[in-house]
Amino acid sequence: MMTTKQRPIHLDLRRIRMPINAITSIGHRISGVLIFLLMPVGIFLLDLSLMGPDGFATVVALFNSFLGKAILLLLMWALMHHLLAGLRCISIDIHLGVEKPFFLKTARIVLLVAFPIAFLLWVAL
Amino acid sequence: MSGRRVSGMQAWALQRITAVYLALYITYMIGFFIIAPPVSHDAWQLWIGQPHVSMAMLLFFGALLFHAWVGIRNILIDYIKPFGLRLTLLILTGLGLMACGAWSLEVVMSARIV
Repeated sequence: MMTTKQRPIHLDLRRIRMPINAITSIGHRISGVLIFLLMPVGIFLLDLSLMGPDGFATVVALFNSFLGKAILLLLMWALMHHLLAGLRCISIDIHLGVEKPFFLKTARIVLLVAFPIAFLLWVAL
Repeated sequence: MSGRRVSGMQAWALQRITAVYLALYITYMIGFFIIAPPVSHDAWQLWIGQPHVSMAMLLFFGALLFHAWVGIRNILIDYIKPFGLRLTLLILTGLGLMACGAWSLEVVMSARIV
């Protein structure tokens, strides 16, 4: 007799097998949370930069500090990964790239390409 | 049941519509900071003070807040199982986002009143 296989229903990240598309997907979530957490910092810096010449100079100095540059690099990765993973999501919504080899290939491309793009933009900024 | 389905559909659509604006705005702003970064406080304030620039920026913050709300809500519902904790975090997220909205409105408008 056929028995229905017991499928585990959980979202325990330590027990879930992570193929490449899952890593891209969790990266989409992690980068989103990161951008969410940096939002008040961004509004604070915008506020400070508009307060006057002193505030503007402070913000410029913060962006040129080691910590500022490190956080900016992290933010650029988060933005690029989130943007590319989001575009992939929308393209799948309109049934582009749903087939398996292509589906996994675009997941790999998003995962890998976000780093060099973020780095290049960070250098240019 | 159908009400919930419609609500999920609206969140899905909202996430994609805001995503398109956020993608365009952020690409434009990164380009702006690479090609023509503001050189002084006066130049920066004058630039933001222009009606179309401040409106685009306010629209950006609005889109960002709705986008973040749908995204964080999905993550909390997926990973936080205890109802009380989930509800608390959802409320804190909502209040935090509304505070960010009010704050960004105040900051952007302050650049226009000079």
